[in-house]
Amino acid sequence: MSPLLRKLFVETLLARLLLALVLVSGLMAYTGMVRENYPDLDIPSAVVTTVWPGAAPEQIEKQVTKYLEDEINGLRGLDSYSSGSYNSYSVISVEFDADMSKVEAMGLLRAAVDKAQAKFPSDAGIEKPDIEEMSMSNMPVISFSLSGPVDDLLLSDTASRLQDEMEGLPLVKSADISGLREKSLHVELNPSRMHELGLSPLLVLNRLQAANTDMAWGEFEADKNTFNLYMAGRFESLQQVEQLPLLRRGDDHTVRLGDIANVSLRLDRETSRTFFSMDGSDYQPGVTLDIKKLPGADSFAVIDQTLALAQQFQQQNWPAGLTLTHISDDGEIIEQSFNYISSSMQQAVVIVFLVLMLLLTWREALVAGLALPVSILGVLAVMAVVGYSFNSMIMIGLVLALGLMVDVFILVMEGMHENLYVRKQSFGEAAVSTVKQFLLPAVAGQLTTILAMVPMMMVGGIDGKFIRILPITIVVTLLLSLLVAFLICIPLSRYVLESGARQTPHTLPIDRLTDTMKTGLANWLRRYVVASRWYSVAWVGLAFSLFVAAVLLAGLLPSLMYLESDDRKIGVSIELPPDATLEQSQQVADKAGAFLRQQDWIEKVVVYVGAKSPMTMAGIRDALLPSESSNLVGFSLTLQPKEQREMLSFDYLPLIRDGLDKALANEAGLTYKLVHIGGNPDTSAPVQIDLIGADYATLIGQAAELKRGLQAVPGATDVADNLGPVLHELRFHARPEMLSFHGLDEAELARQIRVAMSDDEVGYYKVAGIADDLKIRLSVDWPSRQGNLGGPRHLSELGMLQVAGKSGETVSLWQLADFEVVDVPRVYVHRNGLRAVTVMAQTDGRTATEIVNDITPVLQQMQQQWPAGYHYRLGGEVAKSGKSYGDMGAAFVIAMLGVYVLLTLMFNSFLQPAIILLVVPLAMTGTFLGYFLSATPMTFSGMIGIVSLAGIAVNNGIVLIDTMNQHLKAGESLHDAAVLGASDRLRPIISTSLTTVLSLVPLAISDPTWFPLCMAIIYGLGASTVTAIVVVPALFYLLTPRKRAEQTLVS
Amino acid sequence: MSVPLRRTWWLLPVALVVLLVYRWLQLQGSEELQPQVQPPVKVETIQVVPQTLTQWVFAEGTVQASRKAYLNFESSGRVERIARLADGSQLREGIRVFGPVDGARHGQLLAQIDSRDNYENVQSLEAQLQSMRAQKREAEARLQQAENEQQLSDANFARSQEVFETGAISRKDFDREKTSNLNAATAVQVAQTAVSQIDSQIRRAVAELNRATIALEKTSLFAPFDGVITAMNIREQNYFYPSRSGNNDRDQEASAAIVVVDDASLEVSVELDTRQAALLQEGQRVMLAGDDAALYKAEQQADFSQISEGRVWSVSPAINLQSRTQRVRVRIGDGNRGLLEGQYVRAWIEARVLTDIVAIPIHALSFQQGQPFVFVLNTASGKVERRDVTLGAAGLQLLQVSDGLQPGDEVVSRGQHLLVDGADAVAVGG
Repeated sequence: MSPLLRKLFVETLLARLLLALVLVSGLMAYTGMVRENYPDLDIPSAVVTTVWPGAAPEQIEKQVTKYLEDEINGLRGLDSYSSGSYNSYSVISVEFDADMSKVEAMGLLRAAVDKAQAKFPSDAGIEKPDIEEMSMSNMPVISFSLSGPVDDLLLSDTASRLQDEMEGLPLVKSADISGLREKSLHVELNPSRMHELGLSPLLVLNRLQAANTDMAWGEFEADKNTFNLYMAGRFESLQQVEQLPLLRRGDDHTVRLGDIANVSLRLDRETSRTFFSMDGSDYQPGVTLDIKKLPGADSFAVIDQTLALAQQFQQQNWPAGLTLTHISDDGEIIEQSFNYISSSMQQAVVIVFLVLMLLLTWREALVAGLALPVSILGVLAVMAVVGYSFNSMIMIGLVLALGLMVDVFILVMEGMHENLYVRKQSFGEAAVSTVKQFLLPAVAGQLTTILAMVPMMMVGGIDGKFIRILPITIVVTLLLSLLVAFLICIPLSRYVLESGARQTPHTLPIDRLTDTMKTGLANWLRRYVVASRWYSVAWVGLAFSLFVAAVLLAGLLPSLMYLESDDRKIGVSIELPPDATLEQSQQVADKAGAFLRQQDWIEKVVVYVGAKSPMTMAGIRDALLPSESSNLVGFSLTLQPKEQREMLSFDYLPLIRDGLDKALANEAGLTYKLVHIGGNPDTSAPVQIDLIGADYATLIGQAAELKRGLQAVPGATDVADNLGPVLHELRFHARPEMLSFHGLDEAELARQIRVAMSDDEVGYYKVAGIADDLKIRLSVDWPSRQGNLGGPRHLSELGMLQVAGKSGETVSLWQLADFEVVDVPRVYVHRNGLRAVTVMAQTDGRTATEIVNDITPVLQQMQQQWPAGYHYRLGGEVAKSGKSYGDMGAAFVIAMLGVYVLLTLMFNSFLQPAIILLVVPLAMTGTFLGYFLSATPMTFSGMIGIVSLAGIAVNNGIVLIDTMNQHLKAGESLHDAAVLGASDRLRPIISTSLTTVLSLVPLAISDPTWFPLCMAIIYGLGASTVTAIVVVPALFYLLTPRKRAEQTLVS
Repeated sequence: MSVPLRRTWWLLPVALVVLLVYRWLQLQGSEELQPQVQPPVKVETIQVVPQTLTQWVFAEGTVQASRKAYLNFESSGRVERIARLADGSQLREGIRVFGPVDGARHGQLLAQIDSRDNYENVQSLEAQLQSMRAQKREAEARLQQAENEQQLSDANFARSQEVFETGAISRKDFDREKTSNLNAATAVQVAQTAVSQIDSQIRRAVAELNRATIALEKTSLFAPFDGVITAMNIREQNYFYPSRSGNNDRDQEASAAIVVVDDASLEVSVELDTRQAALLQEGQRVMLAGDDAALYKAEQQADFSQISEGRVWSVSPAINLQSRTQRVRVRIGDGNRGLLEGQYVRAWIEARVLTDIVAIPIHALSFQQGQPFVFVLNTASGKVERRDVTLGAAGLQLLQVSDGLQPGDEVVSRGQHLLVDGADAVAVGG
């Protein structure tokens, strides 16, 4: 034999080197790879925020958002965009195609934003637009809480410092603080004193700003040196601010700021509060820090870094009485999910090993069994090199590929067994002949499977990107398994098999069983299938009618994209009436919190009063909605680990709803929403319907009608729209004549009123060191606040509002302006540049498709009554699934074509590949019937399973046809060839199917998301095994042209 | 094993078919899904009861006493003395003084400037007067004398005439007698003129004396009425110069020697926009305090016992050209609880007190294109009805509903953002 062949397959040096390489790189990859639960998809998406303080939503819509949208609309690779124009700011969320490069996308976006910025009205005070890159999941990876009976100012200082330090870490994107009250220097003007002295708030404002400046005055060049001149005017102490003179009246009377205002260093108005409870303990108030990681960063690394920083921080100058508690982190969750799947994988390996022990002698089983982990390590090494993180998708791919991998090893080992023990060849000869016999079939078998998988990588969109790792992993595994089988297993099996060769082979128990079955099958086939053409036709017809029936039944299956899977995080969002105060929200939070705290299946609860929980803001569309408002209450729930609970996480959702209903039975006007991420990479609501038109008032009415319709549809919950309730706005119309009489202009009026109604910052108050300077806030002390910060509380208090005229007289506001109350939308929402309202709903117990099917007739009826120019569009899961399923279907067809072409080359015929491919529908019969009987819905992972199944089932067909051809070549009759081909290969077919099926069982049991995928393959493979054994011989018998048969006979 | 396998393999497909049929029937059964019943919206309601609503008009102004005297010395001079109290301390700001009592001409003496000049003046004038009176007596005496002479002359003339007519005396003597008679008459006239001249001189002297006396009196300042000293701008032994400064209250106060104020009756003058002044009438109650916070708190607690109270005294029917407002005066009599003269106060005028009306808090209202409406819950049917309402007067926390609601209606006050006309709702909480 040639030296090359010796080197490759007989001598062990190369094998050992390769083994070492694989093991080392694999172990390095295993320990070094970033670990994640689901792959960080790195979908290019961003949020563009532009602030224009004081502008109305309509202004923002026309003069800021419109220009930005015009530029964004033409961007290459744009998938969709939505915008919200609020009072004083505009938010646009932009999503690009999942497959576009993030760097490129962001570059294009920045250029577009810059172009748009040039068109903004100048001198209006519009701030530069801020572009923030988003990742698919915007949830924090680790949260801390600062609490304790300390001074409020101290708490807020420490929290700010901690935030700065955390944000300085390289992998941290942002550290969001909730429940923090900023400290500012507040100057609260006393309106009575102001009017008494005829002072205008603008005078105070100007004096404050003028006096609070430091200025460099140039240089003073003396003979020998130079001095810099600097006027230090900025306020350094509270007394300085209080003593600021405003105006002189006579020689002995100066009006100072302290006379007309209350100057104090205090915390700002409370806007939100946070509390947390662990394991049912009482709620502790505190400041919460949520740390978000950069897209693509390793969660564990971030968690470790922040924990280390927290530790370090606490050792330096930590205020007594203050506690920093680490509330939750994803690390534990990731670790556990990871462990579940990796244990499924380990179980699969063990099962396969056991099966191997049954099928082969213990020596061969050992080699084959050990080859499994080696291949797995090799795959990990390759994936690490390519740049993937070690996530659950890779492991699922490995599990899927396990059964396929094993086939090659079994093939090779059986070959070695045969050549060594039966044909009694020497090791070297056995090795080489095994290679010669089985290389091509093995490669062919793997290639067909690979070809079936490859088109799956073509599926586009977020889902496509999500699952892309699966086919990649499977392909890599299959290729690597070939490498390992031929280059490592064969040479190294010398150590195990050679010694055994001297023993006489004994028949394994399994051999006896299979022998019996073989003869039984052969006889049966002869009698019932191949006995005559009519029997064959009958069987084929039966099989295919079964297929048709299965397809019809499959049409009855409900379908959705992803099944719910267990997730330890649940977010709860409660919205009170829009005019609710923080105290009212606190009351609601207390009631709901009491209920949640008592549930023993919840481990940790973080409460947000006056803000939304980050768990309910995970999607990019949620970035458009305001996250802080006094009428919002949010809960972040972390459930106990799966083993410590009775039910799966999504089964608790109805419980939570019921509990909240009971706890909040006496609260009026609430709406709530539960967010459970589960297995879906896209966290937006599954049911989304966009209503597009020109006028918001009409749209709001249509949306309200649609919401009512949706609420009546069973299975639809948490029906909401993205517009929210209308705001009541007091619209003032100035009386120009009166204004000019008093020497005021509209701008002056507006500025005076603004000072009275808000607490804008007017400058900075110097503080020592490098901490941020405090803001100076100017506001008016309203009597209804009784000393607290805030604006007027009653409409009639506006009657107390006085404006200072030009010559110091005070004029009542009623003289200068008329007002009316109007209802305005809180936000002007656009979808892809058009005014639109989106109505959303979650699903409970039914799929989004079913719900949409129910509501579509209602929608169509509604649309007939709409004015021209108003239409609706379905979004959400239905739109996505249509696309994804379509892509998968296309992938499937292409896969089948590819396989057909390959087989044609292999078998040198057009007919036989067709027969082989007909195995696929038979396999699918099993899947559909199995789904139907077990009431499994059709999901995206099910589709993946079906496509994978096609690749796997084809192998059975190849093996059968190949053997039949061999029998034909050997001179058997067509009859016999068909029968013997099937019966001969009964054992390998059963063993390969068995290993594949059994290896998938642990995964199917452990995770409901992948259950459909595994079951698709299990049902399908089971069915295909049974039917292939019957139908392929029948078809072979029917369709092989007599000429060929006779040809072979003759030759 | 092979034998049973061969015989029983028919069972498997049969079992399969049975299962399929079963499942299919199950599916058929479960397709009858009920449309979801939306639970009624939870709302909070308030029952409409007849209420009392106060519509306030807000104003501000400075408290002034209704009687305020800016006392000045008429002439300049050194302040001689400032009156003292019984305990020997000088009069000063804050001391109560009394005015004229029982028809007396002057009230309490407050201060005097150097009056020696005036005093001497008076003395000299008095002396002059006296001498003139003496002169008058002299003149009268001369008149008497002249009259006597005239009488004599008349008698003589009569006799002369008789004699002349008898021819006993010459014409020359007769003419002489006649002339002396005439002279006597003239002498009487001269004497009369002299008397009247002296008279008028005396009157003039009296007048001057009176004037000087008044000037003397004016070097003293007397309290014109019962009141309290609010400003004392003079000092003993310092010079006082009367100044001609503006009519402005502030300037006058700054320059007057002594300001005496009758704080038993205080007055606040406020300027109001025409639309608000239209709601006001004389006699309406007014609550006054230094700042709105106290008033606000009192209104909330419905307890005005700590707040000063007054009444609208006058409402000007004309609009002030300077400020385009109407002036309203408020008088505070007994209701003063701590307000000081000169204090800048906030005045809440009870423009209207409406009793037995339908009023709701503003948070129960919704607006659609400016039209206010509410939802009324019908507890019997469990449905809400949208009612358009017309708003009337506005109080501090309630708004009058003049049309659209009846007492007894349950108005939704929370949760109305989730409602539409005809929706199901249930009342909770409260």
